[in-house]
Amino acid sequence: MSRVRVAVAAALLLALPGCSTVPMTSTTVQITQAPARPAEVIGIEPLRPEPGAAPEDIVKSFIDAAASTRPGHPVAREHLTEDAAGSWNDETGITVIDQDYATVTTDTGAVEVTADVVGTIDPRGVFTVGGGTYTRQYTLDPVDEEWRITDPPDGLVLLEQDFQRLYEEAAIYFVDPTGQRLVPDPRYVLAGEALPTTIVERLIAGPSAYLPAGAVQNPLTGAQLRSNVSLDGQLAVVDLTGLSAEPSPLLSELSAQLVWTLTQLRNVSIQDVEVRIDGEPVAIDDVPNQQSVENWVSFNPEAVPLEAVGHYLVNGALRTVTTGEPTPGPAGQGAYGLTEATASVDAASGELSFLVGIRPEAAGSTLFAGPYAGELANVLSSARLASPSVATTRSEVWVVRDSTSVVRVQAGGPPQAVTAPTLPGLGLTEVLRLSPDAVRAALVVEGPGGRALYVGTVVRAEDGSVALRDFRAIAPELSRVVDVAWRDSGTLLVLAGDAEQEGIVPYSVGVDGWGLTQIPTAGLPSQPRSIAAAPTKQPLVNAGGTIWQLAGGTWVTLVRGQEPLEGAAPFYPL
Amino acid sequence: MTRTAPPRGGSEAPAAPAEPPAGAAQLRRVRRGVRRRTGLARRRAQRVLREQIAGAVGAWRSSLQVRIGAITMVVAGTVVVIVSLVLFSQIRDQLLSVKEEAAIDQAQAGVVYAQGQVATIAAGDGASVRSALSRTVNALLQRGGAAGDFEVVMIHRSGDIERPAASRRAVLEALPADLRADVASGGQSRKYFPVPDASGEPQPTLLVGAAVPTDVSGVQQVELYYAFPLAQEVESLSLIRSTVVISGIALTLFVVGIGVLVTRLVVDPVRRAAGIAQRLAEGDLEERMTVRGEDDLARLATSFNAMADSLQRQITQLEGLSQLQQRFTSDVSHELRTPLTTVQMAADVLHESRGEFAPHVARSAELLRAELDRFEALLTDLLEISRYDAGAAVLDSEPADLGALVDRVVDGMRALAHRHASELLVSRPDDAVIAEVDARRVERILRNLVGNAIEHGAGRPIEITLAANRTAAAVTVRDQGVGLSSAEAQHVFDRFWRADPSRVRTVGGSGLGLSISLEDARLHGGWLQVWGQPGAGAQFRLTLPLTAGGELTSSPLPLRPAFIRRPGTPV
Repeated sequence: MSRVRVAVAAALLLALPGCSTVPMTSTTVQITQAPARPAEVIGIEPLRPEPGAAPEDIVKSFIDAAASTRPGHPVAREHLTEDAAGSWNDETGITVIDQDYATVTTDTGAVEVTADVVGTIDPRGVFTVGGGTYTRQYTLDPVDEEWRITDPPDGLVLLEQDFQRLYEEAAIYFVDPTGQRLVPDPRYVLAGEALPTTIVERLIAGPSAYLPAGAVQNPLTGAQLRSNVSLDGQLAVVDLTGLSAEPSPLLSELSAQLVWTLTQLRNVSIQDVEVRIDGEPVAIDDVPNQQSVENWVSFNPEAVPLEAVGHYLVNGALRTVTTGEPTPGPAGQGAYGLTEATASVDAASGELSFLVGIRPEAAGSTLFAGPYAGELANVLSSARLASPSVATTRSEVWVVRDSTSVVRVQAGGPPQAVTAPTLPGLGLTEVLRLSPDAVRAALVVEGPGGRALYVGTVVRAEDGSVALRDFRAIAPELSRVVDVAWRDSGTLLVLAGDAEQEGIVPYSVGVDGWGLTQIPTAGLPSQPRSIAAAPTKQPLVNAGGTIWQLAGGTWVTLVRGQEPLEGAAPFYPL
Repeated sequence: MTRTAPPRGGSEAPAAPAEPPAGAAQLRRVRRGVRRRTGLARRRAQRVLREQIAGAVGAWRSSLQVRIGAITMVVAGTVVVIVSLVLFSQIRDQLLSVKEEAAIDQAQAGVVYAQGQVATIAAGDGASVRSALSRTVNALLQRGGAAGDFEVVMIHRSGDIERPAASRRAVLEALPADLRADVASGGQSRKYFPVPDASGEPQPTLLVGAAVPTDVSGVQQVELYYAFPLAQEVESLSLIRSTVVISGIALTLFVVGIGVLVTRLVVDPVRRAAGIAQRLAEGDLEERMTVRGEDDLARLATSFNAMADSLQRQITQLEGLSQLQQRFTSDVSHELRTPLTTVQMAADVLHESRGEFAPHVARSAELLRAELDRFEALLTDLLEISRYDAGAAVLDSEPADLGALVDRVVDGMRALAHRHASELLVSRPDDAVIAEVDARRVERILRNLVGNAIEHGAGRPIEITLAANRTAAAVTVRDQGVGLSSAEAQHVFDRFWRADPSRVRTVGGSGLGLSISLEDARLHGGWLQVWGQPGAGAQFRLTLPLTAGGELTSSPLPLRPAFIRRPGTPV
């Protein structure tokens, strides 16, 4: 009997676990061992902390170690204590400091770093020019007889040359309010494999704070990358999702945006871009799947009309730079006595159509406007009018009035005010120049610290009102700014006093303040007074009463082999 | 224990202190009552259970079908259970391993894809990490596999900063720590773990975690987790399990049913054969089994029928012979009676005139008459016996007082006892013992018994006892004479049997007396039994039912006397 009982018990024991369907929990079972990691190192890696280094050297080495393309900056983390290494966040922004920085040991295990700030890069890659001084105290603790930093600042502190070496300046393009032109927004991205994907992600994230809504449009708003941007030779494939694949002007705009942005990258050679939505290439009339800039020539951010030849004024008469001949019409004969002028090219016909000039008088200045080769009419009088500047896409000309406000004049229309409430607060506006895409404006304002260079944004509201706002000083080092011109949509040419206070020299600077470099003045007889520039055209300066143009690094006369032509106030009609 | 009502208003004691103790006492009473009731219920249940078990055991013993059905059920049930368990566990393991393999394949493919995507995360760019993770998770979600529904979780860790992206938040929160530790060390692992589903219920889930190899080591780590809910597998396995269980039960019942049916095929003919045999035994000699087919049962039937034929023939033959014998005996007796009567009359004449003859001739006449009387008694007894044999004996039952009957017999036999110097001691109850008997026959029995006792008593007292109980009455006749051995006691009721053939028959006996007494007792439905011991005498006991036709189960008097005197001891 007992044997039977044992058999029954054994059967039940076997039965019970066999009855459950799926296991609720189980142990963790390894599938594979850790695969061998390839020890690839891309680029030049900074040096690891030297054993037995003093705290100052550790801090210097830490700043050098920030120049790394490896995610997480492992070499920099080796300079930190374990807790600090775990909690240090290197993604909150970059502070670019001048390479002449000072480290002072204030106490045992305390080092103070003082440096000039070149600028800061925010997490979105937007550069903001600095100008102050970077001062920070680093505390170090001995760990295993080595000094290690315990309180690193969040974000990276990078030397300027390292920044230039590692980070690429890439312009990402947005669409201007008319939908016909691309507006650049310069960003700084770590060069490397991730560059195309990061650039497209920046595009999707939208314009920087300096380009608010109303200044530019972003057709890629709401889109998402479906997978990373893959490179196939010189073809980049961008796979988007979250957009409608219906043919619409929006598709053309975003295709143009992507094509122009990706083909302008310097470190990556991309010729063609294929834009896909949810895996399918977008279908746009007359545009192949693999798009290049030739398909989107109309959106060219540096497009300049053919008729845009340089002009200048001699004794109130208008001349062109090609031959020094007067322009047709009464203006070319000096009928109006203009001291400053500008002209606009009609987008439809490509002809110079609208001419605006300023004539100073005893009681003030008068603004004349009218057809290029025809009679000009008096449209505006004021105490002081200066600096006419043409907005390319709309055939209107902006003028500074009374050094405190801005007026815009359209062909055949009355002058209208431009809202610029903060402008008077900066000082007296001497010069206003609109960018070739008419989204930004460069200003020379005489403020309490002298004449400084500002860049503002043109915001057009839906009701037609225009505002000029978000002024930022992009060249705080330049104190005696005389004139400014747009070399192209992203670069400015500035005439300012040089560091040694010896005279006025031309500088080139980016629209965000990066890359202030001096342009040699070889060939100029004296200091330049005014400057004019246009994309793809030679810059013109007025130096010593004569007009010179920049060719091959030196300033030459307008007509080869001839004497310099007299003139002033050069401009390019756009 | 009775329940008393709690005292109201406290007539005897002050209210406040008396209430709690009374309440506690009441509680105790209630508890005791409840315990008693539960005890009662338990005992009742145990009793019922025992009765049912006893019933089951009885059914097991008596019915072949129940036995075969039970054994088949146990054996078939065990086999079916074992087979179903094996089947079910095989299916389950197979299903789970297929799922695991597909899951691992999908996870590894996902790792390869994620590796390509992770390579485009720019260093020092938090937004890039987030968008890369969410992009990769969405893309991986689109790529299905053979493993069914799944959720994807990706975690990017840079130092201590973790950035997760998950297709469903609950999966991320439910990831177990040991799996994460395993994956963080760079391997790939799988684990079964409950993960809450959309409604919050934990569902068994297969988690596969893999580390995505980035091309740098140490600081940046990317982990990829797949969660495969096992809801489908649970459903299909539950379905399979219930199917297997139901079909197992159905199969077992089916097999048991078949077994019972098949045994019926065998048991029914056996029962029929038993019934026919019983009827045959009861006397219906014409009963035969029907022969169907040519199998073993048909052979049984044929043999049974042959046996019944033979029995019937022999019994009929024997009955015929016996009848023949009985008729012969009665015929002979009758035939013998006629000349006997004549001879007796002649002998009577001679006996009456015996004074005129010479003494030796007178003696011869006396002898002649005595022996003729004896001859006539013998013939009467033979006739009587032959009537019994022929079954023609008739019982005239009337209520009679057995005490008075015993007295009559004893009175009649006193003369003979006095001649043999034996004393007749009668002990009977004072009350009348009324029984429905044929008085003539009972008297004859008693006379025979007492006569035998006197004859064999060797002069010692003969005890005659009468006793009765509710159903029967008994008379014992005890003598302390020569006695009988137990072997002789078995033959004492045979016809013409003598214990000691050399013994002189002083009392006129035909040798059929005890046989006739036995037949008379049997006619009443009673018993006539003997006990004897050589040298200690013998005791005959006659037991009769008080009502005619009643069945005897016991006798008021013991067969073996209470005390036995040693031979040779004086009275």
